[in-house]
Amino acid sequence: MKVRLLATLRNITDCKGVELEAENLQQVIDILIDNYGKDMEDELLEDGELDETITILINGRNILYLDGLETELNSDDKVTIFPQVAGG
Amino acid sequence: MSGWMGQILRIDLDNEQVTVERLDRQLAKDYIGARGLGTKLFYDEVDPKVEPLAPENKLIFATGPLTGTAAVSGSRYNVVTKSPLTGTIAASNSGGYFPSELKYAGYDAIVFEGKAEKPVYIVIDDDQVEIKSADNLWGKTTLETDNYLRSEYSDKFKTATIGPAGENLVKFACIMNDRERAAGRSGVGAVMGSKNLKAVMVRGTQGVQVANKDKFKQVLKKSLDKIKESGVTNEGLPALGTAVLVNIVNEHGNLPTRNFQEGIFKEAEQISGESLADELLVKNKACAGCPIGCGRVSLVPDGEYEGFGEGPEYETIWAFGADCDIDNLKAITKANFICNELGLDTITMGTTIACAMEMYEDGVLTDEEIGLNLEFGNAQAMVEAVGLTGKREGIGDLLAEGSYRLAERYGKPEYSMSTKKQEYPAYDPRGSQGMGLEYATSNRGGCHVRGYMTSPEILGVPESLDPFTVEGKAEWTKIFQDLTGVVDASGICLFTTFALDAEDIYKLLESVTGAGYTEEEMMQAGERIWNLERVFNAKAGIEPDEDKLAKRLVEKPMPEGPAEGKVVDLETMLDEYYELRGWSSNGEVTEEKIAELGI
Ligand code: SF4
Repeated sequence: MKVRLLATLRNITDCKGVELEAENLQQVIDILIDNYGKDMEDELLEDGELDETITILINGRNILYLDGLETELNSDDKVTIFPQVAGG
Repeated sequence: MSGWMGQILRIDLDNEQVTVERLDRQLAKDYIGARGLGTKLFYDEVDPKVEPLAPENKLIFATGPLTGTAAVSGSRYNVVTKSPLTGTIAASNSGGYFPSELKYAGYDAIVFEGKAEKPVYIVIDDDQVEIKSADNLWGKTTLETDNYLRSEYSDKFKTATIGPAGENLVKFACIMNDRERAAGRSGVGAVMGSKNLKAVMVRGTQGVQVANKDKFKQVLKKSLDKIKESGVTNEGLPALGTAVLVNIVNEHGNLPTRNFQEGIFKEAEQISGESLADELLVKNKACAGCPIGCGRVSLVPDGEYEGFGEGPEYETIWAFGADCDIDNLKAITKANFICNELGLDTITMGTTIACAMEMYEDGVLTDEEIGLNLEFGNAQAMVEAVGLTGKREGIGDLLAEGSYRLAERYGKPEYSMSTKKQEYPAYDPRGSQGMGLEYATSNRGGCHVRGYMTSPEILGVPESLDPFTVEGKAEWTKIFQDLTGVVDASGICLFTTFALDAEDIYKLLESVTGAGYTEEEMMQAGERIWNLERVFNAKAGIEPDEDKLAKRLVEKPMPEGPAEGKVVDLETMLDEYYELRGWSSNGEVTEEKIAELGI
């Protein structure tokens, strides 16, 4: 599936996103941390849990309004991850 | 007085008379300053039925008690007048350095009245005020005007000026201060042009008194710490500017595309804040006393869109980009630079072109009639249309009236994506219901900075709300609108609220003014400002049935993406909103509410 990374997360990955295979979001997070190390871990996790300033969308819908980290993933889903940002 | 300077400068352009009046202490406390104080002065002095471009309309520059202090981002002023675009009250907010300098010269506000016989500019050097001929400046761009004035006088002066668009009474002309900061929306620059007032320059040597210095130091430190700790104000905005939102709003399926026909722009990545930072960004720029520095300075080094200047912001990128189906960031940036030079509001400019593009696509506007190939996606035509509008040449003369009047002229107002004749900004409310309520009820028409519901609905700040539901949205919108009234009136930047809450703002306000506010009184001042604007609008003939959205947003389901199938459920939210506001069930401000707020 496609995982798109936005805003300052790209400072860590130096790319716009990655293609990976995962069955659930926990696996997505684990793979990202495996690939990008401590900087990614610091961004995504707080005390081992998903940092509440991180937003994850599946096909544009915030996982807070799906089943959170338990939301099932299909191989053609698009996952988007970004840190807290604002503008206007 | 602390916080306030205690003086209002009145400039009668008919008779070239300058007077200084004392600011009433109670009035200042009740309306705080800037948007609030300016609106109250305006309301008390001007017939709501006034023709916006007639000499009887007044133009007020008003600062807040925190403007020019060390309070975080205390850089703002508001321009208050009756809008030629909407016929409502207009209050346009801008930062930079001019607003603080106005305080240092000793004034909380300037009231301009009448109309100069010939073009003039005003020089304010502390208590010396001169009205000078601007014959040689008429027709000059904002940057040329600023260059001339500061070279004639001194670099220490700060300027606010109109460009050719304001002179030509373009209905959405803005006032540019400090070269490239804009009091952007609702056509305040056209009112300035109608008065033959080209520019105002100011220099001051006074300080702003702080009532409780120790307390102020404490709360200031805490506020700065919060801004440093917040990812939004410490990382996101400095690194990527407001344009960080392009990708994020697009991923939610809410980035209005092709005049709000769609909510996903397939080429969003090419016009995103990330691409801007990689390709065109030269450096960040901050307003006075701002630790955030969200401003962009960009360079297009060569080619047909060559240029250098401030911008583009998120809204601008969207208006000239996704809304016009244009993925050329250089062309978008060029359109932004032209708007700055001619003095045009980028949101209404871009969205009016998008409206014209849809009318052209449907054959309502034809080649022969407009002399331009206004196909969606035609970047060259878009840039050309901007220049023509500022000068009111060719099709530009039609575009200069804004999208509503353009579409109405052809009997098809439904093409205009606007409320109260002001165009919407860069969020499709079908996928962000609360934003729909904000657009419908904003006292200056389609606008995002009166109650920014995108913040909880899309950005999760201060907490996350489901963007698709309507429950609780009326209450959130009301609280956001009232708090925004306070922030705008105080003179600090609205972006501080991504890190600071009402209590922080209260402590800054109270420690600077020592006016004896309680936090409740402060919030009530926000509600008072909101209601006063509403009362003015009603007297001006803008009735509650104008609290509506473009048909497309309430009748035509979003065609694809995460919000597919959704329309805005405005009626449900509106009923609840009127009730929470304590208005009649059809949206009129009641006598009881007026009495309760002491309007
Ligand atoms: S956050 Fe941006 S707009 Fe606000 S005061 Fe700072 S630089 Fe200016």
